Amino acid sequence: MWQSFYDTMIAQGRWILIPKGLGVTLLIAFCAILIGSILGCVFALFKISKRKVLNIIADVYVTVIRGIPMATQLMIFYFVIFSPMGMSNAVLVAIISFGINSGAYCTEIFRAGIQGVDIGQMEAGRSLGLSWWQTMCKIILPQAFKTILPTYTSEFIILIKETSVASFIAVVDLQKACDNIRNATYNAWIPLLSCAVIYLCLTLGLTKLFSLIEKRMAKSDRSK
Amino acid sequence: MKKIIGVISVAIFVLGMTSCQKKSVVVINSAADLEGKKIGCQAGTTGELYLQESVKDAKIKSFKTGIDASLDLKNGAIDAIVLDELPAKEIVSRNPDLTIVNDNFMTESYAIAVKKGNTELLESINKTIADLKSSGKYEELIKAFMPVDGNIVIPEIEDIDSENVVKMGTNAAFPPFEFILGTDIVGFDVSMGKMIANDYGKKLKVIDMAFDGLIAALQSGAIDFIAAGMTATEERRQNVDFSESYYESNQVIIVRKPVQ
Repeated sequence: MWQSFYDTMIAQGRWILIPKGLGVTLLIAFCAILIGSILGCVFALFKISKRKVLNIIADVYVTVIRGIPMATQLMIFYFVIFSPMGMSNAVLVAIISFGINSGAYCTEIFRAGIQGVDIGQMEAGRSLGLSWWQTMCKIILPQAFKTILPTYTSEFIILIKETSVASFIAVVDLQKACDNIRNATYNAWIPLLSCAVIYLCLTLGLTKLFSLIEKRMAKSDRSK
Repeated sequence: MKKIIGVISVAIFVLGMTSCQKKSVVVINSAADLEGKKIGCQAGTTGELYLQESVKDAKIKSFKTGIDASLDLKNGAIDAIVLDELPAKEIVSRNPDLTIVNDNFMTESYAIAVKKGNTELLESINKTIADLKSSGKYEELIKAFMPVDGNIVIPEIEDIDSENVVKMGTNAAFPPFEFILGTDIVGFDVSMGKMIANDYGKKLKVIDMAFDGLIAALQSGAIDFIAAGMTATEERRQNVDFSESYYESNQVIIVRKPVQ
């Protein structure tokens, strides 16, 4: 058992592939969630806006992106859009396309959060003389943030797991690193189980982190 | 409620046990025996094409690499694999319970692919291949990567120092043409790719991707040439330009060794 683990993972320094791949996975996931959150914020505001044009833009974005599988999208971004344009840095393409994908889901999460805040809050803000933007930024969004945190956490976790399809466009992420070890050693279970354990640790750690933030925020709740 | 759960779990258990069939004894001695069998292959290869077009009632399972197919063959989920000769030999030498049936049913020649119309790179590649063959370096490469005793020695080839890169696409699960050693991608094609890049005056960058994605990547400009043990077929010629052939190979069948 230990011998076969040694032969598969340690011999010839193959284990180095794993931290390298893990780094790429984390880089893609963190950058993508950043892009996704920004896009999500913008399009959520578009969605609740009173202008018809903005509504339609946001609707089209969410419908198209949510309706296409991630792997298909990723390959479209790489093979059809970016590399004919001369940008063949696959990691960057992965970050952009995972970001755009995550943005669509964030849009819906944020919209639900904003609309979940009682309408009276906006009316109260406006009657106190604040502008629409001021009310939105200072009163509505902070409250919405608290309610969306649990769903936002799960979106982040889903995103980390989804990055495992990045090897479709020649990105050497954690999954691909394990595939490489599997191909070099003809041993399927050690690399795959190691990969699974690492993904699990990542998502567990994140869940813990976010639940800490949630608790910290709950301190200001009157009801608790 | 408990009874229902009990009945369901027993049913699932029984179903599970019966569906785990034993590794069936299948005799395959020639390409003709493939008919109606469960056969694995690598997606996008000529082996896959052969199975689709020439083998009747074959249940084809296409894997991303031949090595994945060999894992499935060992597990008994498929009966045979159709794969290029040298990778098949490499797989069999690492897996003592597999063996090769060589029926010489399909010979083919590997070539390097470039984007259609990229004559400048194509001419440079053709010149490198011709130089290799005439200078005897080709034999050295063959000896290094396909040694009689099975011990591959990777020859050292200096990269030239250049700011411009030329990108080679490959699928690093195709020993001895390309495979992973430790953390590096090495192999016959990689060494030859380095020579091509040196002659072309650019630094080589190897990009590892799925075999069936290589031509799309070439067409979109993500890579500059493909060196992946790719056979120059008529279908592929319609989409890419091929260099002179650099290796003759044939397709073989990998099967499990009959149990004594």
